[in-house]
Amino acid sequence: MMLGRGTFALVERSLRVDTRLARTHVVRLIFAGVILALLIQVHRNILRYSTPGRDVFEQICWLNFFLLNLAGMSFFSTVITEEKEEMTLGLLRMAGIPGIGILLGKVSPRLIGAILLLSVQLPFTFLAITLGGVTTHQIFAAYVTLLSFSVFLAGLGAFFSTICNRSNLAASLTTAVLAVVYIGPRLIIDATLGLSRRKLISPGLEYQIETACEYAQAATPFYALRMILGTNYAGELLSYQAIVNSVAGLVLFLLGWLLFDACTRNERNVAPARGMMALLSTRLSGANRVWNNALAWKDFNFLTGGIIAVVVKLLAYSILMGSMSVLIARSLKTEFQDNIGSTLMLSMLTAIGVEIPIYLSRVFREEMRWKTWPGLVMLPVSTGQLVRNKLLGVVPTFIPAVLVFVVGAFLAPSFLKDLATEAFLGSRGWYLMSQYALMVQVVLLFSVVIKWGALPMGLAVVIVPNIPNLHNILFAPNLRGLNALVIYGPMFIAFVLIVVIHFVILDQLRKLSAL
Amino acid sequence: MNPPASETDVDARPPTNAGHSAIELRGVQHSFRKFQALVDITFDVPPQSLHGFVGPNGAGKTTVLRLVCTLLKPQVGTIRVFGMDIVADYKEVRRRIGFMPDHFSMYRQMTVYEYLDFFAAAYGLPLETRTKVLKDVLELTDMGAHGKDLINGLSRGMQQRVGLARVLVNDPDLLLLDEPASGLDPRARIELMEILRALRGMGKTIVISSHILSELAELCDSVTVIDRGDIKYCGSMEGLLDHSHKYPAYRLTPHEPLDGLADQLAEAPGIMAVLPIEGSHDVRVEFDPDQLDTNAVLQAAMTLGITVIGFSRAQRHLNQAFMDLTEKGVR
Repeated sequence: MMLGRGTFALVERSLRVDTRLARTHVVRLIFAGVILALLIQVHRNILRYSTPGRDVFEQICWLNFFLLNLAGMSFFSTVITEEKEEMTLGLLRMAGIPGIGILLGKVSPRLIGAILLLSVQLPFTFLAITLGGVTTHQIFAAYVTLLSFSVFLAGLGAFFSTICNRSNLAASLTTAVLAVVYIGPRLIIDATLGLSRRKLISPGLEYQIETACEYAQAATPFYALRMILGTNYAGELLSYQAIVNSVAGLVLFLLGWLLFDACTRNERNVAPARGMMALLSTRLSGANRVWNNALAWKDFNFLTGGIIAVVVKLLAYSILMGSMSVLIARSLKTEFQDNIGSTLMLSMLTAIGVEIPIYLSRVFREEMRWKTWPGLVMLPVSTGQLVRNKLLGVVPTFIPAVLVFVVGAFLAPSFLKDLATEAFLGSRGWYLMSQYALMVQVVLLFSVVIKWGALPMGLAVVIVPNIPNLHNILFAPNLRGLNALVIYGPMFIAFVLIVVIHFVILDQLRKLSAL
Repeated sequence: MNPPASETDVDARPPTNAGHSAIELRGVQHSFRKFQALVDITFDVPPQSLHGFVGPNGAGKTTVLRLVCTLLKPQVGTIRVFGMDIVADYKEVRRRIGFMPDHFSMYRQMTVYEYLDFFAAAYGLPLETRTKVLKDVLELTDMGAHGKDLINGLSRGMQQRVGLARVLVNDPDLLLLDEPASGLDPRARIELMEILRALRGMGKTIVISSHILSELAELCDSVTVIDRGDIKYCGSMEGLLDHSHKYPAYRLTPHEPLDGLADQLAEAPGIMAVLPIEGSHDVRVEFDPDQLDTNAVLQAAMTLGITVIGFSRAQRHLNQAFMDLTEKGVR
């Protein structure tokens, strides 16, 4: 009885607190509202779709899949590391709560939160049936897929946050595992095929490896959703993927429990990581000094990894892009220079586009997390200057991507011209840039408002309401047929919001200095 | 500190004590939502003094310090530092003050030298000046041998020294130290007090908030007592120890118990009261300074045949003064 009480005490408390929070219900309401908006949007343009119900349900499923992945990388992977970083795990242990109680107490409220977020959508998704193209069976099968994937993510998060001391490391390892799960089997199949062609492995072994990889692929929610969302899906409700994901989640959770005592026995004083600065053989003394722009120096070195990270990135990009260029040159007989150039430019634009929100989500978060922000506010400069100087520190980290982009521009100047024309002379480019800038600004805002998850929240808040519009604008052959409001309305709203959020961020930073 | 932050800064600065108090609060009120943290605060801290700032938990000490160091804006009233308004001239005020909060958070991933160099650069000190200033502050705080050590690996006492060194890099005229000795062992505490004395000797104004009253009594020239957001006393330390007495009080130690002689002494002209002191034969003698001086009090006692073996000023201990001035309980 006592064991049960201790085990479920945290679960009970977390659920009670969660239920009382207005935020919980607001998020669910917003999510349901977004789905309703998607349905209305498809209904209004019903003539454009051959299977409107399935199209809208497909959008909802992939959106859920995308958000669950983001949640796995942040929301689930930090359950125990948060307690370690706050040094509160020892107190929970001293209160007599067993390891399983702590794990359950931390993991299950988050899992239940994710499940409830999925459940709240269900009534609305049934509306998709009335639009046509999707069956009740498909809807249930898709949600079972997503629920089992949530269980897997919760188990994965519980495992990594138990064995890691820092949230960053746990999140990175979770991301790495997800990447391996998604692309690992495909890479292995390709490699096996190559080895087989050169007669380096027997056909029997090749068959076995391929079969194993196909099973692994079939266990991913990506594969399962693709199957379910196909026409005339008549598979099992509790699919192979659902069983594998649920069992894997449970096994990982149990592994976390088994290792819990060993990994949490000694409470460690968690300090911010020195990062790649630790690789410098000599610590700063007389020779290497802080720049005159001290704030930029700090963020460049301790947030982005400094000169070592720049060199590593430059090498990595060069090797990756070099290999890609060789592949393109081999596969194309003509115009390969243009293709290499355009690939380099697009890849680096993507890299910069991904890196910017990642770094910005950490610029202020790290100061808040380690309570160092008031020390900076005491400096004889305005808050605006502080912000600008800190952001300047992030800029050098993009040098490798910019250099590779410049190489691409030399190889394909005509593509650069097309890119610039599309970006600056067409309304599509401005639309995309405005939405991207808004997303970055929202990520920055969340990083000073919420404790964790600024990046996924920022992405979700800006991208989710934009999905119908993005779909229309990106895939429309030309924009003439589109209502001007579809493009210029969101652009105008984005610019206004960016300005408003700018002042909200400054105000929030001032308030935070007084805490 | 020697030399100051930078030559140009020195020239630009107004003199420290150009007729202004180091800190001047007038009618300051501050609330956090419905909680009135400061009721109506008015007090001054004289320049080049070591000023104690005491009060029970939740009295408003940290709020006052955060207001003075510009981390908070006063909702009502004005605050001036060396004559400069903390809202209008906040940048200049920040240049002139160094604030060490109670929960000091540092960039623990940095080395001691990097940390100090970072703040020195952030205050705009040129490279050559930084080198000299860092050498000085490390020497003053006795951290010279730990420049290359990671802050995370230092003991709390050493981290406290680094924190103090950090507030000194811009050579501030006013130091605000919130509970600087909390969590320190006796040796580290004594050494910290030594450093503060040395800094006072350099002409700095130091405001130190602390709960360790005995150390404040020994260290400070002046003191402010705050309770429930209201100032209960502000003035010299000596004045605080005499504060509750209308008349000067002296402790008289007789050779033998006074018995009835105490009443006779109390009736002598100019003697206002003779009160026994618990646990000894001693009595506390209060007299009207307009009628008598200490020699006359002694004379009166000896005239009654009392053999006096001790006669000294009777002061309350700071603890007692604190208890008398502040109310029971926390808010």
